[in-house]
Amino acid sequence: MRLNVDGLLVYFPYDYIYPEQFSYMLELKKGLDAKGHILLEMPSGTGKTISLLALIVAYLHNNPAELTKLIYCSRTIPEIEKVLEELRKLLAYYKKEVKEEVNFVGLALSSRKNLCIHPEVSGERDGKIVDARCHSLTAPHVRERHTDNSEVPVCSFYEQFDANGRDTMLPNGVYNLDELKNFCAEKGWCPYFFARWAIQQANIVVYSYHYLLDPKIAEVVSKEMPRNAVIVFDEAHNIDNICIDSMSVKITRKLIDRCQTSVQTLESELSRLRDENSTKLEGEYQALVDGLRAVQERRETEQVLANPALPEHVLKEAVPGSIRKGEHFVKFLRRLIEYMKVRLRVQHVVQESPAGFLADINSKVCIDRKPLRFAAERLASLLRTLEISHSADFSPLVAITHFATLVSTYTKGFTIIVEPSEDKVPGAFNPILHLSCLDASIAIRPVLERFQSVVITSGTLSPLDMYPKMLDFHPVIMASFTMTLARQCILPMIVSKGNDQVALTSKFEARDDTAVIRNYGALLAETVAIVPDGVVCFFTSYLYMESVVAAWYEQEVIDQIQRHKLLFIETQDAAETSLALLNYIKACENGRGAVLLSVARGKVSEGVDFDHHLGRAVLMFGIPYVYTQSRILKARLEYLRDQFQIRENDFLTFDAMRHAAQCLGRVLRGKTDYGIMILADKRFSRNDKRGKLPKWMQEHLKDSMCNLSTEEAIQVAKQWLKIMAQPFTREDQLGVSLLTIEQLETTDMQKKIQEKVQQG
Amino acid sequence: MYAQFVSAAGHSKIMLRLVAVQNPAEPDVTSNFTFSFSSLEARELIKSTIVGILSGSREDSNASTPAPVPSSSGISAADFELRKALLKKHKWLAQLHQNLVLSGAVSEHDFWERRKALLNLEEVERKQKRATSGSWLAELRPMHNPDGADVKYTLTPQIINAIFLQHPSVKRAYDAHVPSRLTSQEFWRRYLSSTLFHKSRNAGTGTSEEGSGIAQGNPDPIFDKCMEEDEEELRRDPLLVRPRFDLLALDKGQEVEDYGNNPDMTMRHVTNARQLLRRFNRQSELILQSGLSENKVGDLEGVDGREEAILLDDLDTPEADSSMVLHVNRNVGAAVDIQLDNELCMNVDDGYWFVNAWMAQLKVTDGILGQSRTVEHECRQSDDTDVRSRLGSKYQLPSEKVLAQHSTGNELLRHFWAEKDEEKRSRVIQALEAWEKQADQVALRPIMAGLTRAKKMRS
Repeated sequence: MRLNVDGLLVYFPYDYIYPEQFSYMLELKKGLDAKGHILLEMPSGTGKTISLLALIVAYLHNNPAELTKLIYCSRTIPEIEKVLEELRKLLAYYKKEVKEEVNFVGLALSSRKNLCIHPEVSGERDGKIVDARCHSLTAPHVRERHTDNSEVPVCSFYEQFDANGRDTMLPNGVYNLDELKNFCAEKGWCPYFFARWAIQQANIVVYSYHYLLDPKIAEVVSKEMPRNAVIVFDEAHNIDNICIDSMSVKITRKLIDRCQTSVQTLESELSRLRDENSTKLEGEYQALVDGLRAVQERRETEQVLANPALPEHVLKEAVPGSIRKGEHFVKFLRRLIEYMKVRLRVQHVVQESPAGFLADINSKVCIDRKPLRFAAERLASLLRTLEISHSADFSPLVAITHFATLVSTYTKGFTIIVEPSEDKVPGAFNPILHLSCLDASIAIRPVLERFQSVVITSGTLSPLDMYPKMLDFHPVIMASFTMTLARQCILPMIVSKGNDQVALTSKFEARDDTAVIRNYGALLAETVAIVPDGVVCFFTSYLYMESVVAAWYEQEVIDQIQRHKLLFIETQDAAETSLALLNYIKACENGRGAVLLSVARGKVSEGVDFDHHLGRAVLMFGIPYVYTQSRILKARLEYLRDQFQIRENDFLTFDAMRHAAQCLGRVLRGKTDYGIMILADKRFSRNDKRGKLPKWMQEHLKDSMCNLSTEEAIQVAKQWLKIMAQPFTREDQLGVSLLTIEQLETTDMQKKIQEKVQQG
Repeated sequence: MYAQFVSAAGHSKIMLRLVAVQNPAEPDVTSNFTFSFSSLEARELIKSTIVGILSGSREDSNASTPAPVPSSSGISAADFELRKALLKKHKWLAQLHQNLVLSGAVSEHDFWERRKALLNLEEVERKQKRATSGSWLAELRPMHNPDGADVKYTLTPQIINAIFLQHPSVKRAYDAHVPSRLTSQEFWRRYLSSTLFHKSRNAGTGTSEEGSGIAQGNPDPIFDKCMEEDEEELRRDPLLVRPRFDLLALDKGQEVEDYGNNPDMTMRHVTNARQLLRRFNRQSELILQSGLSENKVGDLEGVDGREEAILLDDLDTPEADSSMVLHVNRNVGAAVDIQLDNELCMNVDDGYWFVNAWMAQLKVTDGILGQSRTVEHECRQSDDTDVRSRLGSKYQLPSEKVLAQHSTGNELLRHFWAEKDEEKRSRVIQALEAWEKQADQVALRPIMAGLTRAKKMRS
């Protein structure tokens, strides 16, 4: 259908539209017009992606001067592929309706691991090894050597691409990872480098968050992206954690040990080069005097990672004299490593600010702040000069120089925590130093500053005002949409007690309480007896799930469950989990019915949709709080309180509830779908928890459903399922939750939509 | 296959019972014929005659099973089987069959013609491969002697089979050792005391009973090897997963555990829990695969789920829908519930018609009128299978007899209207008249009205 969204002609590849999709586009349009950042929450499964794409593509099509590019960031490969599929559908519709050829190229970029077609390299499973092997075949000096001596292996795909690939424009269309690989395989080009080159030309790029948020990668990949682009972060409820992750460094004892060997290799390489060809080193020295960047005739294959943080003006400065010479730099590294080694020798937990660390390192080993800042760039330059192709050997050094650069660049928003033992094996002496970023806004600020519009959207962003605070930005549009429904197709219920009135809770004191576990078991056993097809359960942590399942086994709850459905469980092993998941889907599809036990924050909870028969009910056993004793978390809470006036408890609850909502939202896709959502913890019924659920869930959570016992919940669910099983036709929906173009254009409906937006 | 039984030599009655088994695969489905004789000689004569006939027919058609149905005019043995099974399964149908067919009002063929759907359903059900039931997973739980000294396990062939299925390695070990080196009993005794057996068993109690002296099993060379093989088996499993569900395909950065989600120090690992989880996954997989047809086992669905994953079907104009909405008035839910076992299997329109008729009947039946709502409510509240018996005592529901009469009359009327052949029609009318005489006038008024109409049409 053709829509008129506030004066913009939007082609929408369906015959009907949900009212909230229209509101969503309306808000998006306003934000794009204002050239500002946008924060939108829309229930999962209401066609968010297609609305986004339809509007932005229309915008690109009609205002090519104002907006030139869409960069769509998603979290996982399957999601990236899904976005491209939607885009394909949309463009096909354009072709049909507009008749003329529309110039759109959409493609995905992923890591070498996913794109490599080199027969040997692509066989590697570890991404880092693929990167390193690729580098050893494509680095400029390797290729130079190859021209002298054809024995030196290079990657033919890259050579082909380098020779011919840059003259070709990618034909209009949509390319997912496989299609990209096929396209390039035909021509004999390297898909990875071709994609990296092609994203500069394409109008629509879909890739992972990290290509924008992780400064080390963003510098290499996304540097050339134009300012007048719109960035979309989809499924962005976790964006703060991704930002923080990308700026944090962990240094372990093992890493330090590996550093020491690396430094030795570096030194011997250096002396080798000095003997062979000292002019090269001279040249590097001269260049470093002029400033780091001046030297670099940048080539795409040159760097694996850029430095994590340095602002542009610093890079134009001369590199400090103390590390300009190769051998001096190596000595500097040795001192740094030695110092870090000493720092790791702790008996108790030490927490320190970056400023304190800098003062300490200065007094102990006489290292200034300035050379530290340049450490990462300096190492990269040296590795280039030494023409080292097996860069994986130097990854520990890269890590430690990144640490040095970060710690000396940011005095605020970071903390250093040294722990005598890692959490995984309590008791054993295994010291670890965290340089932990506390401030999510640091990583995202460059993105927000550089690009015209950034859209942050997800099914669960409640409470909305938390995100602008944490990410420190001011959105021009901030809205949350509810779901208009012709029938109540979700049934959220809070089950607070078992049949024997024992309070259901996963709180720490009750973790080992068999009465609680038994009641959880009874709840699940009774649920599987009445719910058809698939049932998904989420536990608060992996260990909790383990102990509960073991206890259920003892209490013969498992037998009861297996009487009705097959049982599948997420394990810590990804391959095994994939298999279990696949079998779960199979069991649901052939009518046998199954239960899947998994973990909130786990892979399943983020990556897989349990729509329709794959999930008729979802149970959340307990509130998925983070492990609150973590020192990093404590430091972050403190920082949030001091800097952003976010209270600890608010943040913890917010974090727990967004994960809970994320798990619960997995069951719904489209309005003909339906699912039961059971929140099994008495604490959910408190207002501070309930209030943080997304609006569209709260709306359907009636007061009478907030304090149920197992038995009551089962009764309610039974009746509800009967109603849901009745035929639900389009006629029931039309005009309420589903609109034709005529209905949409009535003044009444337009007024309603306007009102709704204002409420949001 | 036939078997014969004769009464004991000195018995006062001289009898012969013949048991015919139609299908050797199903020895339970039999036909019985019992004859009594006035003299022993007569019986012997008959016996020898039958033996003669049987041996003759066996030579004739050794392979094909005869379909000795007198009334069947050219139906296949399979059809006959189906019909018989249905009659056996549904008491109400058997009764109807008796009232209509055996009384001669309706021919066998006509009777089944109306129930094609039922026959098809039965046929499909028979063809469908049945998966293993989840019950074989039922735990092998020890029986403690009252004096508490020793523990007793009971191994049935079923349980042994389950163990073999779960641990193919044990099967291998069994095959390798049992007849030659160990007796079966010895083998199982060693199995039950082995670490392999106790490893999964103690998973649940691992934390609490660690070191408390509860048997953890003894190392045993045979089963330790099995254990290793099992582990090995769990470790392999090459994966070919649909992209949508490939959890391994998380993009870069995901190797790092999510921030803040550090391992939970407040909990301790449960010993062997991992083993336990794996076992559940494995068991469920086995059951699942046992239910899949042969060619599908191991097929990880080559279909790419991408397209379906993005589709919002209610936004698209639907293609002409072949399915049809049930005309079930939501308020009649209760009636349907009660009626389920009686006439559920009729096709949709029949069902609708029937329900309406029944509701009409309900309305005229004394005392029911006001109760129908309450009944409906009660039905919704409970999912007892025998709602009727429970409710019957509470409310005055139509008796079995009335229901039987009702369905007979109903069926006859239908045949009347469906029939084009005059002769058959008159037969049906006769049957209806006979039915009318014994029918309960009040409860069956709607059918009576139908009968009157039918008669009018005749004249």
